[in-house]
Amino acid sequence: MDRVRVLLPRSLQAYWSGEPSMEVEGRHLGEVFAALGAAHPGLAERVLDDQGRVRRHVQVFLNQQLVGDRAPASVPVKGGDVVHILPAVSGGSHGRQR
Amino acid sequence: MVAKGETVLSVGTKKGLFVVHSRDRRRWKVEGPFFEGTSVYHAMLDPRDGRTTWASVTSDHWGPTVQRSRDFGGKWLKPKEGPRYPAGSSLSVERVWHVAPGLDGATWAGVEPAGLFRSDDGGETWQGVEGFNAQPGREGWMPGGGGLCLHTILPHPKDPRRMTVAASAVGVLGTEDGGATWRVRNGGIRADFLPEGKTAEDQLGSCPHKLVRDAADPEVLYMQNHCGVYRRREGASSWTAIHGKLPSRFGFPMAAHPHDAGTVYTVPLVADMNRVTPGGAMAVHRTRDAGRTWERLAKGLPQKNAFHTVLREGLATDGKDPAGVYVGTTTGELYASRDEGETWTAVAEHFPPILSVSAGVAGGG
Repeated sequence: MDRVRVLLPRSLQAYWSGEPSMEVEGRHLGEVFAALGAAHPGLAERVLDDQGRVRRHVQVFLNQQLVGDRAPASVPVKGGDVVHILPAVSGGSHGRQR
Repeated sequence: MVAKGETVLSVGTKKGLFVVHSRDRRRWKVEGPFFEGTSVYHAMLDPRDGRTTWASVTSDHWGPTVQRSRDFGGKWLKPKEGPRYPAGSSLSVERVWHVAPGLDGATWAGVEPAGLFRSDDGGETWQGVEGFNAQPGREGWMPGGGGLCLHTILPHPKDPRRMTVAASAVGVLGTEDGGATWRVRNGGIRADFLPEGKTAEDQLGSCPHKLVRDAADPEVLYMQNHCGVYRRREGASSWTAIHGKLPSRFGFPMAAHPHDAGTVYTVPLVADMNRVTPGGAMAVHRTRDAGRTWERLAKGLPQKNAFHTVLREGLATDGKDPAGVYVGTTTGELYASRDEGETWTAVAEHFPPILSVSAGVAGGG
Protein backbone atom coordinates (compact mmCIF):
# COMPACT_ATOMS: atom_id res chain seq x y z
CA MET A 1 0.00 0.00 0.00
CA ASP A 2 1.16 3.53 -0.64
CA ARG A 3 1.31 6.00 2.16
CA VAL A 4 -1.21 8.73 2.88
CA ARG A 5 -0.36 11.91 4.70
CA VAL A 6 -2.61 12.88 7.60
CA LEU A 7 -2.62 16.39 9.03
CA LEU A 8 -3.86 16.65 12.62
CA PRO A 9 -5.14 19.63 14.60
CA ARG A 10 -3.16 21.00 17.55
CA SER A 11 -6.17 20.45 19.81
CA LEU A 12 -5.50 16.71 19.63
CA GLN A 13 -1.87 17.04 20.52
CA ALA A 14 -2.34 15.16 23.79
CA TYR A 15 -2.60 12.01 21.70
CA TRP A 16 0.62 12.20 19.70
CA SER A 17 4.07 13.69 19.88
CA GLY A 18 6.13 15.54 17.30
CA GLU A 19 4.81 17.24 14.21
CA PRO A 20 1.07 17.37 13.46
CA SER A 21 1.61 15.41 10.28
CA MET A 22 2.11 11.69 9.89
CA GLU A 23 2.05 9.10 7.15
CA VAL A 24 0.06 5.91 7.38
CA GLU A 25 -0.97 3.14 5.04
CA GLY A 26 -4.49 2.37 4.00
CA ARG A 27 -6.77 1.62 1.12
CA HIS A 28 -9.61 3.68 2.47
CA LEU A 29 -10.22 6.16 5.26
CA GLY A 30 -11.36 3.43 7.64
CA GLU A 31 -7.92 1.84 7.41
CA VAL A 32 -6.25 5.23 7.69
CA PHE A 33 -8.02 5.94 10.98
CA ALA A 34 -7.28 2.44 12.23
CA ALA A 35 -3.62 2.98 11.47
CA LEU A 36 -3.66 6.28 13.32
CA GLY A 37 -5.20 4.56 16.32
CA ALA A 38 -2.64 1.76 16.23
CA ALA A 39 0.21 4.25 16.19
CA HIS A 40 -1.33 6.56 18.81
CA PRO A 41 -3.74 4.90 21.23
CA GLY A 42 -6.95 6.82 21.75
CA LEU A 43 -6.49 9.07 18.73
CA ALA A 44 -8.95 7.32 16.44
CA GLU A 45 -11.65 7.45 19.14
CA ARG A 46 -11.36 11.23 19.19
CA VAL A 47 -12.18 11.41 15.49
CA LEU A 48 -14.69 8.57 15.23
CA ASP A 49 -17.68 7.88 17.46
CA ASP A 50 -18.59 4.49 18.90
CA GLN A 51 -20.09 3.37 15.59
CA GLY A 52 -17.11 4.35 13.50
CA ARG A 53 -18.68 7.52 12.11
CA VAL A 54 -16.79 10.77 11.93
CA ARG A 55 -17.92 12.81 14.94
CA ARG A 56 -20.58 15.41 14.30
CA HIS A 57 -18.35 18.44 14.82
CA VAL A 58 -15.26 17.07 13.09
CA GLN A 59 -14.50 17.78 9.45
CA VAL A 60 -12.39 15.42 7.37
CA PHE A 61 -11.04 16.62 4.04
CA LEU A 62 -9.44 14.37 1.44
CA ASN A 63 -7.26 16.35 -0.92
CA GLN A 64 -9.14 19.44 0.26
CA GLN A 65 -12.53 17.93 -0.57
CA LEU A 66 -14.96 17.53 2.33
CA VAL A 67 -15.68 13.87 3.07
CA GLY A 68 -18.93 14.73 4.82
CA ASP A 69 -20.95 11.97 6.41
CA ARG A 70 -19.73 9.18 4.17
CA ALA A 71 -18.64 6.08 6.04
CA PRO A 72 -14.84 6.10 6.28
CA ALA A 73 -14.59 2.61 4.81
CA SER A 74 -16.41 3.84 1.71
CA VAL A 75 -13.84 6.53 0.92
CA PRO A 76 -10.88 5.10 -1.04
CA VAL A 77 -7.44 6.68 -0.74
CA LYS A 78 -4.25 6.25 -2.72
CA GLY A 79 -0.59 7.03 -2.25
CA GLY A 80 0.16 10.70 -2.01
CA ASP A 81 -3.33 11.65 -0.83
CA VAL A 82 -3.60 14.20 1.96
CA VAL A 83 -6.19 13.80 4.74
CA HIS A 84 -6.94 16.84 6.82
CA ILE A 85 -8.74 16.42 10.19
CA LEU A 86 -10.16 19.65 11.60
CA PRO A 87 -12.54 20.74 14.36
CA ALA A 88 -15.67 22.17 12.75
CA VAL A 89 -16.66 25.74 13.52
CA SER A 90 -20.07 24.36 14.53
CA GLY A 91 -18.64 22.65 17.59
CA GLY A 92 -18.75 25.43 20.14
CA SER A 93 -20.07 24.83 23.63
CA HIS A 94 -23.75 23.99 23.62
CA GLY A 95 -24.34 24.50 27.31
CA ARG A 96 -27.04 21.85 27.49
CA GLN A 97 -26.21 20.73 31.01
CA ARG A 98 -29.32 20.49 33.16
CA MET B 1 0.01 21.60 46.19
CA VAL B 2 -2.73 19.80 48.04
CA ALA B 3 -1.72 18.50 51.46
CA LYS B 4 -3.05 15.47 53.24
CA GLY B 5 -6.10 16.24 55.34
CA GLU B 6 -7.14 19.27 53.32
CA THR B 7 -10.71 19.64 52.12
CA VAL B 8 -10.67 19.38 48.35
CA LEU B 9 -13.40 20.67 46.07
CA SER B 10 -13.44 19.37 42.51
CA VAL B 11 -15.27 22.03 40.52
CA GLY B 12 -16.22 21.11 36.96
CA THR B 13 -17.00 24.05 34.72
CA LYS B 14 -17.84 24.75 31.12
CA LYS B 15 -14.21 25.74 30.53
CA GLY B 16 -12.21 23.30 32.59
CA LEU B 17 -11.72 21.77 36.02
CA PHE B 18 -10.65 23.64 39.14
CA VAL B 19 -9.29 21.95 42.25
CA VAL B 20 -9.99 24.18 45.24
CA HIS B 21 -8.47 23.19 48.56
CA SER B 22 -8.24 24.38 52.14
CA ARG B 23 -6.79 23.32 55.44
CA ASP B 24 -9.35 25.17 57.56
CA ARG B 25 -12.29 25.65 55.16
CA ARG B 26 -11.83 29.40 55.60
CA ARG B 27 -9.01 30.21 53.21
CA TRP B 28 -9.03 28.46 49.88
CA LYS B 29 -6.45 27.98 47.15
CA VAL B 30 -7.36 27.40 43.54
CA GLU B 31 -5.47 25.06 41.22
CA GLY B 32 -6.23 24.97 37.53
CA PRO B 33 -7.99 25.23 35.26
CA PHE B 34 -7.23 21.75 33.97
CA PHE B 35 -8.58 20.77 30.54
CA GLU B 36 -8.75 24.44 29.67
CA GLY B 37 -11.61 25.38 27.41
CA THR B 38 -13.29 21.98 27.74
CA SER B 39 -16.45 21.11 29.66
CA VAL B 40 -15.96 18.99 32.76
CA TYR B 41 -19.40 17.70 33.61
CA HIS B 42 -18.42 15.90 36.78
CA ALA B 43 -15.29 15.40 38.81
CA MET B 44 -14.69 13.81 42.18
CA LEU B 45 -11.89 12.98 44.55
CA ASP B 46 -12.17 9.26 45.08
CA PRO B 47 -13.06 8.67 48.76
CA ARG B 48 -11.49 5.24 48.61
CA ASP B 49 -7.96 6.66 48.53
CA GLY B 50 -8.33 10.45 48.82
CA ARG B 51 -5.80 10.77 46.04
CA THR B 52 -7.38 9.87 42.69
CA THR B 53 -9.36 12.62 41.00
CA TRP B 54 -11.77 11.42 38.34
CA ALA B 55 -12.91 13.87 35.69
CA SER B 56 -15.52 13.51 32.99
CA VAL B 57 -14.14 15.67 30.19
CA THR B 58 -16.28 16.39 27.15
CA SER B 59 -14.99 18.12 24.06
CA ASP B 60 -17.77 19.14 21.69
CA HIS B 61 -15.40 18.26 18.87
CA TRP B 62 -13.47 15.24 20.08
CA GLY B 63 -16.00 13.55 22.32
CA PRO B 64 -15.95 12.39 25.93
CA THR B 65 -13.28 10.77 28.07
CA VAL B 66 -12.98 9.87 31.73
CA GLN B 67 -9.53 10.87 32.90
CA ARG B 68 -7.92 10.51 36.27
CA SER B 69 -5.06 12.06 38.19
CA ARG B 70 -3.23 10.74 41.22
CA ASP B 71 -1.58 14.03 42.07
CA PHE B 72 -4.47 16.52 42.08
CA GLY B 73 -4.02 17.53 38.47
CA GLY B 74 -0.27 17.35 37.95
CA LYS B 75 -0.66 14.57 35.42
CA TRP B 76 -3.80 13.18 33.84
CA LEU B 77 -4.18 9.62 32.63
CA LYS B 78 -6.41 8.87 29.68
CA PRO B 79 -8.22 5.56 29.38
CA LYS B 80 -7.04 2.93 26.94
CA GLU B 81 -10.61 2.35 25.94
CA GLY B 82 -14.11 3.53 26.60
CA PRO B 83 -16.60 4.04 27.83
CA ARG B 84 -17.99 3.24 24.39
CA TYR B 85 -21.12 1.48 23.18
CA PRO B 86 -20.47 -1.66 21.13
CA ALA B 87 -20.23 -1.46 17.35
CA GLY B 88 -23.55 -2.26 15.78
CA SER B 89 -25.59 -0.94 18.71
CA SER B 90 -26.37 2.34 16.89
CA LEU B 91 -25.43 4.21 20.07
CA SER B 92 -22.45 6.43 20.73
CA VAL B 93 -21.46 7.98 24.05
CA GLU B 94 -21.83 11.76 23.75
CA ARG B 95 -20.80 12.67 27.28
CA VAL B 96 -20.22 11.14 30.67
CA TRP B 97 -22.55 12.69 33.24
CA HIS B 98 -21.41 11.06 36.46
CA VAL B 99 -18.57 8.98 37.89
CA ALA B 100 -19.10 7.08 41.12
CA PRO B 101 -16.98 4.81 43.28
CA GLY B 102 -18.33 1.34 43.87
CA LEU B 103 -17.55 -1.60 46.09
CA ASP B 104 -14.84 -4.17 45.32
CA GLY B 105 -12.72 -1.64 43.47
CA ALA B 106 -15.24 -0.97 40.70
CA THR B 107 -15.80 2.54 39.37
CA TRP B 108 -19.03 3.44 37.60
CA ALA B 109 -19.84 5.91 34.85
CA GLY B 110 -23.24 7.18 33.76
CA VAL B 111 -23.41 8.39 30.17
CA GLU B 112 -25.55 10.02 27.52
CA PRO B 113 -27.46 8.48 25.78
CA ALA B 114 -28.47 6.84 29.02
CA GLY B 115 -26.14 4.00 29.84
CA LEU B 116 -24.09 2.50 32.63
CA PHE B 117 -20.46 1.44 32.44
CA ARG B 118 -18.02 0.04 34.94
CA SER B 119 -14.26 -0.13 35.19
CA ASP B 120 -12.45 -2.75 37.22
CA ASP B 121 -8.93 -1.59 36.38
CA GLY B 122 -8.82 1.91 37.72
CA GLY B 123 -10.27 3.56 34.64
CA GLU B 124 -8.01 2.01 31.98
CA THR B 125 -10.92 0.24 30.32
CA TRP B 126 -14.69 0.38 30.67
CA GLN B 127 -17.33 -2.25 30.08
CA GLY B 128 -20.99 -1.59 29.43
CA VAL B 129 -23.57 -3.04 31.78
CA GLU B 130 -25.58 -4.78 29.12
CA GLY B 131 -28.42 -5.60 31.46
CA PHE B 132 -29.11 -1.87 31.59
CA ASN B 133 -27.78 -0.62 28.28
CA ALA B 134 -29.54 -3.18 26.10
CA GLN B 135 -32.73 -3.59 28.10
CA PRO B 136 -35.92 -3.98 26.09
CA GLY B 137 -37.79 -0.77 25.50
CA ARG B 138 -34.84 1.60 25.55
CA GLU B 139 -35.67 2.66 22.01
CA GLY B 140 -38.70 4.38 23.54
CA TRP B 141 -36.75 6.36 26.14
CA MET B 142 -37.25 10.09 25.80
CA PRO B 143 -34.68 12.75 26.69
CA GLY B 144 -35.13 15.54 29.20
CA GLY B 145 -34.17 19.10 28.41
CA GLY B 146 -30.51 18.37 28.99
CA GLY B 147 -30.47 15.15 27.03
CA LEU B 148 -31.08 11.44 27.65
CA CYS B 149 -28.59 11.11 30.47
CA LEU B 150 -27.84 8.68 33.25
CA HIS B 151 -26.80 11.16 35.92
CA THR B 152 -27.11 9.43 39.27
CA ILE B 153 -25.41 6.22 40.37
CA LEU B 154 -25.99 5.00 43.92
CA PRO B 155 -24.27 1.71 44.66
CA HIS B 156 -25.55 0.15 47.85
CA PRO B 157 -22.87 0.76 50.48
CA LYS B 158 -22.84 -2.82 51.69
CA ASP B 159 -24.26 -5.06 48.95
CA PRO B 160 -22.44 -4.96 45.58
CA ARG B 161 -25.41 -6.59 43.86
CA ARG B 162 -27.69 -3.66 44.60
CA MET B 163 -27.70 -0.26 42.95
CA THR B 164 -30.10 2.54 42.15
CA VAL B 165 -29.60 4.77 39.15
CA ALA B 166 -31.55 7.64 37.68
CA ALA B 167 -31.82 8.84 34.09
CA SER B 168 -33.68 11.74 32.55
CA ALA B 169 -36.29 11.41 31.35
CA VAL B 170 -36.53 7.69 31.97
CA GLY B 171 -36.85 7.56 35.75
CA VAL B 172 -35.40 5.69 38.69
CA LEU B 173 -34.28 2.10 38.17
CA GLY B 174 -32.86 -0.42 40.60
CA THR B 175 -31.02 -3.71 40.40
CA GLU B 176 -30.57 -6.41 43.01
CA ASP B 177 -28.60 -8.86 40.91
CA GLY B 178 -25.52 -6.92 39.99
CA GLY B 179 -27.05 -5.21 36.97
CA ALA B 180 -28.38 -8.24 35.10
CA THR B 181 -31.97 -7.05 35.52
CA TRP B 182 -33.52 -3.72 36.44
CA ARG B 183 -36.89 -2.63 37.83
CA VAL B 184 -38.45 0.75 37.24
CA ARG B 185 -39.24 2.61 40.46
CA ASN B 186 -41.35 5.59 39.41
CA GLY B 187 -44.44 5.02 41.51
CA GLY B 188 -46.37 8.11 42.57
CA ILE B 189 -44.11 10.74 41.05
CA ARG B 190 -45.88 13.79 39.73
CA ALA B 191 -45.45 14.20 35.96
CA ASP B 192 -46.98 17.42 34.66
CA PHE B 193 -45.87 16.56 31.12
CA LEU B 194 -47.83 13.29 30.97
CA PRO B 195 -51.62 13.04 30.57
CA GLU B 196 -51.90 10.82 33.66
CA GLY B 197 -50.34 13.47 35.84
CA LYS B 198 -48.15 10.99 37.69
CA THR B 199 -46.18 7.86 36.86
CA ALA B 200 -47.05 4.34 37.91
CA GLU B 201 -44.34 2.24 39.54
CA ASP B 202 -43.30 0.50 36.34
CA GLN B 203 -44.02 3.39 34.00
CA LEU B 204 -41.14 5.04 32.21
CA GLY B 205 -40.98 8.75 31.54
CA SER B 206 -40.32 10.41 34.88
CA CYS B 207 -37.60 13.06 35.04
CA PRO B 208 -35.46 12.66 38.16
CA HIS B 209 -32.83 15.35 38.54
CA LYS B 210 -30.74 13.99 41.44
CA LEU B 211 -31.02 11.26 44.06
CA VAL B 212 -29.09 10.68 47.26
CA ARG B 213 -29.06 8.07 50.01
CA ASP B 214 -29.72 8.90 53.63
CA ALA B 215 -26.37 8.99 55.43
CA ALA B 216 -27.55 6.97 58.41
CA ASP B 217 -29.99 4.63 56.68
CA PRO B 218 -28.95 3.71 53.11
CA GLU B 219 -32.33 2.09 52.51
CA VAL B 220 -33.87 5.57 52.35
CA LEU B 221 -33.56 7.60 49.16
CA TYR B 222 -34.35 11.24 48.48
CA MET B 223 -35.01 12.68 45.04
CA GLN B 224 -35.18 16.11 43.49
CA ASN B 225 -37.40 15.48 40.49
CA HIS B 226 -38.51 17.81 37.73
CA CYS B 227 -41.93 17.89 39.36
CA GLY B 228 -41.19 17.67 43.07
CA VAL B 229 -39.06 16.45 45.95
CA TYR B 230 -39.56 12.92 47.22
CA ARG B 231 -38.52 10.30 49.72
CA ARG B 232 -38.73 6.54 49.48
CA ARG B 233 -37.62 3.51 51.43
CA GLU B 234 -36.22 0.64 49.36
CA GLY B 235 -38.87 -1.98 48.98
CA ALA B 236 -41.73 0.51 48.99
CA SER B 237 -43.98 0.68 45.94
CA SER B 238 -44.11 4.45 45.56
CA TRP B 239 -42.46 7.74 46.43
CA THR B 240 -43.72 10.14 49.11
CA ALA B 241 -43.82 13.83 48.25
CA ILE B 242 -41.88 16.04 50.69
CA HIS B 243 -41.88 19.36 48.83
CA GLY B 244 -44.90 20.86 50.53
CA LYS B 245 -42.98 23.40 52.61
CA LEU B 246 -40.49 24.38 49.90
CA PRO B 247 -40.93 27.58 47.86
CA SER B 248 -40.91 25.49 44.67
CA ARG B 249 -41.18 21.88 43.62
CA PHE B 250 -38.62 22.44 40.87
CA GLY B 251 -34.85 22.31 41.24
CA PHE B 252 -31.85 20.32 40.17
CA PRO B 253 -29.34 19.39 42.82
CA MET B 254 -29.59 17.46 46.05
CA ALA B 255 -26.93 16.57 48.60
CA ALA B 256 -27.10 14.40 51.70
CA HIS B 257 -25.58 15.30 55.02
CA PRO B 258 -22.56 13.00 55.46
CA HIS B 259 -23.61 11.70 58.89
CA ASP B 260 -27.05 12.83 60.07
CA ALA B 261 -30.18 10.87 59.37
CA GLY B 262 -33.02 12.58 57.55
CA THR B 263 -30.86 15.52 56.51
CA VAL B 264 -30.60 16.62 52.90
CA TYR B 265 -30.05 19.89 51.06
CA THR B 266 -31.60 21.22 47.88
CA VAL B 267 -31.80 24.48 45.92
CA PRO B 268 -35.35 25.28 44.78
CA LEU B 269 -35.69 27.21 41.53
CA VAL B 270 -38.80 29.10 40.46
CA ALA B 271 -40.08 26.62 37.86
CA ASP B 272 -39.08 24.67 34.79
CA MET B 273 -40.07 27.70 32.75
CA ASN B 274 -37.85 29.95 34.89
CA ARG B 275 -34.88 28.12 36.32
CA VAL B 276 -33.57 30.71 38.75
CA THR B 277 -33.62 31.15 42.50
CA PRO B 278 -36.95 32.54 43.75
CA GLY B 279 -37.32 36.23 44.47
CA GLY B 280 -33.89 37.05 43.13
CA ALA B 281 -32.39 35.64 46.34
CA MET B 282 -29.97 32.75 46.60
CA ALA B 283 -30.76 30.09 49.20
CA VAL B 284 -30.07 26.48 50.03
CA HIS B 285 -32.83 24.61 51.83
CA ARG B 286 -32.27 21.89 54.41
CA THR B 287 -34.47 19.31 56.04
CA ARG B 288 -33.45 17.51 59.20
CA ASP B 289 -36.55 15.37 59.48
CA ALA B 290 -36.66 13.62 56.15
CA GLY B 291 -38.69 16.31 54.49
CA ARG B 292 -41.40 17.04 57.04
CA THR B 293 -39.99 20.54 57.51
CA TRP B 294 -37.46 22.65 55.64
CA GLU B 295 -35.19 25.53 56.68
CA ARG B 296 -34.05 28.28 54.36
CA LEU B 297 -30.30 28.84 54.68
CA ALA B 298 -29.12 32.10 53.16
CA LYS B 299 -26.82 33.97 55.53
CA GLY B 300 -23.93 35.16 53.43
CA LEU B 301 -25.57 34.29 50.11
CA PRO B 302 -26.65 37.17 47.82
CA GLN B 303 -30.22 38.26 48.54
CA LYS B 304 -30.77 40.96 45.95
CA ASN B 305 -30.78 40.64 42.16
CA ALA B 306 -29.40 37.13 42.53
CA PHE B 307 -31.17 35.08 39.87
CA HIS B 308 -29.01 31.98 40.02
CA THR B 309 -29.17 28.53 38.52
CA VAL B 310 -27.58 25.58 40.26
CA LEU B 311 -27.28 22.43 38.16
CA ARG B 312 -27.82 18.88 39.34
CA GLU B 313 -24.20 18.30 40.31
CA GLY B 314 -23.75 21.77 41.76
CA LEU B 315 -24.34 21.01 45.45
CA ALA B 316 -22.13 18.91 47.71
CA THR B 317 -21.22 18.11 51.29
CA ASP B 318 -17.90 17.03 52.71
CA GLY B 319 -17.43 14.30 55.29
CA LYS B 320 -16.28 16.51 58.13
CA ASP B 321 -17.93 17.36 61.44
CA PRO B 322 -19.48 19.90 61.37
CA ALA B 323 -20.26 19.16 57.75
CA GLY B 324 -19.22 21.54 55.02
CA VAL B 325 -21.72 22.36 52.29
CA TYR B 326 -20.77 23.76 48.88
CA VAL B 327 -22.79 25.20 46.03
CA GLY B 328 -21.79 26.44 42.59
CA THR B 329 -23.84 28.48 40.12
CA THR B 330 -23.93 28.73 36.37
CA THR B 331 -22.70 32.30 36.73
CA GLY B 332 -19.44 30.98 38.14
CA GLU B 333 -19.98 31.68 41.83
CA LEU B 334 -18.82 29.09 44.35
CA TYR B 335 -20.01 29.34 47.96
CA ALA B 336 -18.91 27.34 50.97
CA SER B 337 -20.32 26.77 54.43
CA ARG B 338 -18.25 25.22 57.20
CA ASP B 339 -21.20 25.04 59.62
CA GLU B 340 -23.66 22.80 57.86
CA GLY B 341 -25.20 25.61 55.85
CA GLU B 342 -25.87 28.12 58.62
CA THR B 343 -23.49 30.68 57.12
CA TRP B 344 -21.85 31.02 53.73
CA THR B 345 -18.83 32.70 52.18
CA ALA B 346 -17.83 33.16 48.56
CA VAL B 347 -14.87 31.05 47.53
CA ALA B 348 -14.83 32.13 43.89
CA GLU B 349 -16.97 34.63 42.04
CA HIS B 350 -15.76 34.63 38.48
CA PHE B 351 -15.33 31.01 37.47
CA PRO B 352 -16.76 29.84 34.15
CA PRO B 353 -20.28 28.41 34.43
CA ILE B 354 -20.13 25.73 37.13
CA LEU B 355 -21.41 22.32 36.10
CA SER B 356 -20.46 20.33 39.18
CA VAL B 357 -19.10 20.57 42.70
CA SER B 358 -17.92 17.65 44.79
CA ALA B 359 -16.04 17.59 48.09
CA GLY B 360 -13.53 15.22 49.58
CA VAL B 361 -10.56 15.00 51.89
CA ALA B 362 -7.04 14.60 50.58
CA GLY B 363 -5.48 11.38 51.65
CA GLY B 364 -8.84 9.96 52.72
CA GLY B 365 -10.76 10.42 55.90
